Amino acid sequence: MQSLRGSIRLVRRQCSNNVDLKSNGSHFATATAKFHGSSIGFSNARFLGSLSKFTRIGSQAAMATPSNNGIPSVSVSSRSSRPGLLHLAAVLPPFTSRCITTVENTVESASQDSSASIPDVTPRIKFKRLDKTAKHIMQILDKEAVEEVRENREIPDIKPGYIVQLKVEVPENKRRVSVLKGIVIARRNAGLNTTFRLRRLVAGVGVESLFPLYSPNIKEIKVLDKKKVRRAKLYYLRDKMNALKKQ
Amino acid sequence: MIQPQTHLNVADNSGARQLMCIRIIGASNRRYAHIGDVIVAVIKEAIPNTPLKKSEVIRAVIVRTCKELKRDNGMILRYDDNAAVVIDQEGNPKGTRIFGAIARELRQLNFTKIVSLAPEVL
Repeated sequence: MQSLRGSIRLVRRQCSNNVDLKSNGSHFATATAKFHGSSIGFSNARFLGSLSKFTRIGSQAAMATPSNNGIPSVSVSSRSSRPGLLHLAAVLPPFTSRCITTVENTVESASQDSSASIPDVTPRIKFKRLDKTAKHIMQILDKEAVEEVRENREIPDIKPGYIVQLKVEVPENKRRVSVLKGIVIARRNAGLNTTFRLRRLVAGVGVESLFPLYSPNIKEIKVLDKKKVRRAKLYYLRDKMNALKKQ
Repeated sequence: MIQPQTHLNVADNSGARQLMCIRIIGASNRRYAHIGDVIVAVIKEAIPNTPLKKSEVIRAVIVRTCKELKRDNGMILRYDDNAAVVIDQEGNPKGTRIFGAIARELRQLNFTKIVSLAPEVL
């Protein structure tokens, strides 16, 4: 009796484990069959193992039908078992059947959920919950501003080590002054305030300028050359490319 | 950020080579001088056979600093050295040539002669 109760508990536990396992994973159909067969077969084996003294119907009958639910096999075997345990045998399948149905239900529901969420193309701005949108509203505004600037002007990718040529408009003179040419030594990403540092030699003096990447004063950026660097910030060039340093 | 005891290069051909800042002209107890500020300096090193001699106290205007100069449009300018131009009491440069790049801010501060002599105005 204790062993039978233990087997029932084992079936319950196994069914609950199966339910937990089904919540993730992708191969539902094959996995369920395997689990069904294994759990029911196992429980049936235990159940039958406890009755093995009484009957000689081996677990072969139960194991032979792994894909189906074990109800017909159990009933077949129980018919030949002792009648005293018949009611218990009748009790056992309902447990397993309940387990089977719940597992299948969760399986079906889980598959439905996943299939429903996949084809839903997430828009860039989610207005699912307004308070959640408010948390990153600044980020959304920033991205929008960057997109707006990028649509109007073509801004190439600038990384440290690039030799670039800028055309910067000076607001005082209103002329297309300063074709600046230099090496990018640093780049700081901050959305719309992304800046980059340019180092160049002007009239014998080293000059570093920091420009906002999306500044309207920068009319054109052209990448001339790309140097191989192993660093994101090339501040060591201040010592290396210094014309005024005392030797 | 030039303060007393700071050595500065000279960016013109007035005859001095190196200056040492003594005092910042402007408000009393002013800590640091930036581009466009006038300082009182002593000549530490001079070219021979020029009117300016060593250990002479003169006035100079700062034209280049290693400390960044911020502009309103988000641009930041940073030179590799500290340099000054020797001027007289009115604000006219003593030399006749300017070497190196000059920032545009000096024009607003009425140093137009220096800006016009500069080879490159940034």
